[in-house]
Amino acid sequence: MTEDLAPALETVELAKSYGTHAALEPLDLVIDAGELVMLVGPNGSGKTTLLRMAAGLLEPTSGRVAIDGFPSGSLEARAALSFLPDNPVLYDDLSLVEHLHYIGRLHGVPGDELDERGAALMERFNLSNRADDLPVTFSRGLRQKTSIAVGLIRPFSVLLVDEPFVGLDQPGKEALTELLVDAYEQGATVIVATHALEFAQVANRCIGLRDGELAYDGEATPGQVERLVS
Amino acid sequence: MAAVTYDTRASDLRVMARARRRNRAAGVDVFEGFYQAYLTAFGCAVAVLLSSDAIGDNKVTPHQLHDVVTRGPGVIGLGIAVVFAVAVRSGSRGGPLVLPAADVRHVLLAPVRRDRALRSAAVRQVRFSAFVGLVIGAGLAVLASHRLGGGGAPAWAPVGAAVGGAVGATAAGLGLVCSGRRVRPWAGLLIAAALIGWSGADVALGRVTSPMGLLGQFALTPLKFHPASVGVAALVAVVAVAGVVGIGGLSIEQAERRATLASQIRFALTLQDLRTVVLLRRQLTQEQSRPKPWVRLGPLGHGRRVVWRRDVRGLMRWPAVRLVRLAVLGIIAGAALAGTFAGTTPLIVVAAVALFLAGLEALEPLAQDIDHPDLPSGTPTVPGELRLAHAPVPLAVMVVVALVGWATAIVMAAAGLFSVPLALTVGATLIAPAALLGLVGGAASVVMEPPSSGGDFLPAEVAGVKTVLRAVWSPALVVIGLTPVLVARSALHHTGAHRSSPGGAALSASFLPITVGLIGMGWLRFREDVRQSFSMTPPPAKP
Repeated sequence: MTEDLAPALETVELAKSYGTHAALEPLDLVIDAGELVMLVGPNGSGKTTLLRMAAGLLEPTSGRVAIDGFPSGSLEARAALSFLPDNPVLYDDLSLVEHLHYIGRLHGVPGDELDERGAALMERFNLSNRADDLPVTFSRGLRQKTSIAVGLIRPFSVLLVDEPFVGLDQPGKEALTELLVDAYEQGATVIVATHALEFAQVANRCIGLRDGELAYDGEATPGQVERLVS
Repeated sequence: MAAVTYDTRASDLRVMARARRRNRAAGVDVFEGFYQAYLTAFGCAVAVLLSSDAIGDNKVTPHQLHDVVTRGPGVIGLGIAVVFAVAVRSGSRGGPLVLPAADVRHVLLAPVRRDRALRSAAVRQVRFSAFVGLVIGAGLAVLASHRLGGGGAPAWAPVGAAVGGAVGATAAGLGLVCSGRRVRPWAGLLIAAALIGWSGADVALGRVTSPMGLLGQFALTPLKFHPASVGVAALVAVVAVAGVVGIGGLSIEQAERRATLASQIRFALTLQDLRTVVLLRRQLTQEQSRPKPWVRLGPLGHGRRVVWRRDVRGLMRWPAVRLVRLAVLGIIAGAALAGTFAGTTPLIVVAAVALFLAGLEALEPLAQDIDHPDLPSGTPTVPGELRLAHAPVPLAVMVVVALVGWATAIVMAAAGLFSVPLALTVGATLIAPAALLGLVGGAASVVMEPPSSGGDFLPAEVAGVKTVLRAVWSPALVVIGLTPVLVARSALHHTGAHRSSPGGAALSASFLPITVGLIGMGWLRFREDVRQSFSMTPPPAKP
């Protein structure tokens, strides 16, 4: 029952530095299950560093980070978490639909469910006619949509999203916002690092970082977010 | 959405690996593949023939053979220790595995056991390293059989292949163990130094106590069989298996960095863009300029010397590892030139490559300008003058590298390779041409533009030769700078009436490389003007 009691994401004195440069100062943060959080801050404030450490892609210099009560990078944390990065990283030798099947199977999604969810995601992003194409032939925007579909095909209880709207057209942005809200409404914790001010209207909590330190934590209007980003 | 399951089977990984192989195979042109295999085989055959020819077939004397039997295992062991040290260093930085970036992002972040997910990649790494070692070992053994006797190639080749394969597998295993155990870079450096130190002590004491020395003993089995040397096979197997089994603990952060940078390095290599390779390698090893300089200097000031002062400031921020690397390159160059003077002519190429690499490092300030063309082009300076103004400080660095090489040669002479006065006189005459041509060779590579992607309409064979020439001409320039050592050696063995001292002969022979070096400097200064004068473009018509 540890999962039910533990916060979705918890950092304790979490810090990251590169040589003498501190990318993230020691940070204590608790995000409870079922929150829709907007993570904001100017460039170099530590947003991506925080998300990548939570995802297990970066090792903390000190402190720790837990997902659903499990250490970041552990088998349980990896099962609970989905990370949508700002730069799509895809296989050159798998088609779009093969990507969805591969990632889905790695996360234990049954075959018939995969077909159904994959078709729905491709439909949502208007990618159905490219299902059998290699993403290496796609534009930046289509690759970004593929990457998002890959991140959403599998089960998760915590969704980390880094600058998701970059490179997307307007319908893509709207579809993604709907999907993020859907995930939140179905009980997942969604944490989105973005500069898109309008996302403040759907987020129920805003966390602002500046120079690697916590600068704001609470509800925020687009105007407040704009001040945090500038 | 919140339901979480992770009962993934390993078979899912295999199924998709097959799908990826199928997709890759669909994109491969069979005839293109055969052509590449043919070119590779042809290149290997040419390399073996040329090496064979360079080493010659003269059998060593009984005294020399005794030296090989008694001191050879230690020396071979030292070479193997260097290979192992490189592997340990690589492992402490997340090597030797280079995974596809998508595997790092999707497979290693999926709820699958990483040791299982990485096992096949680790086995492939061990297998590949063992195969490369096997081929190199067999080739070296065949070359050795020409001079050492001991049953000829049929006796030497299998032994060389076995030792080479064992060295390759162990090196990969050591790297994987260090990577899987997350050995810190400083600890990796200590282990590497210990391995080399152990083998160095074996050489100095004339004994075999290290596993590397045992492998060296086994490598000389056609001359003398040591039963104990066979036992090292167990150690090889243990290290290789430990590497494969323990790879699940590797750092995802390092794996992702390697995945990104290694693919960029491969691409830069295909373009023969050595400067980019140098920069990416520094990123891979996290080699950064010092935030605080070794010595804090005053303001840059004004005038022509501002470029020199800027270059000195860059030099003052070089990390210690780069200084050590330059010193090691100087030692390699000096040792190889001593070997050349002692009679092994092909070693001159090793010395030239070492000095060429040192030149690439020393030319950092010029390379920075080439990397960021917008910065110098925005200043009211003539590009050639600016390039030339960057030369003095790197030249001073190259002189220091050459001095390190000279000191190395003197030490080797004192150890009995040849007389110390010869090392003093011949070495002294080599410093200027070696430093100058090392710099010019490096500069030629740094300022070289990437190959044109089309428009030449050359047949494949001609285009291939052109590609090879592009790759070798910069290091070849450095070889010219080292030719005085060959002249000095010739003078040493010359018994005619007009016999001159080796030092004097080397000094006379320095004229040519120094002239070539000065021409190279002139080319650096007047490159655009020379191109303009050879250009086929007609001058603009007068109104």
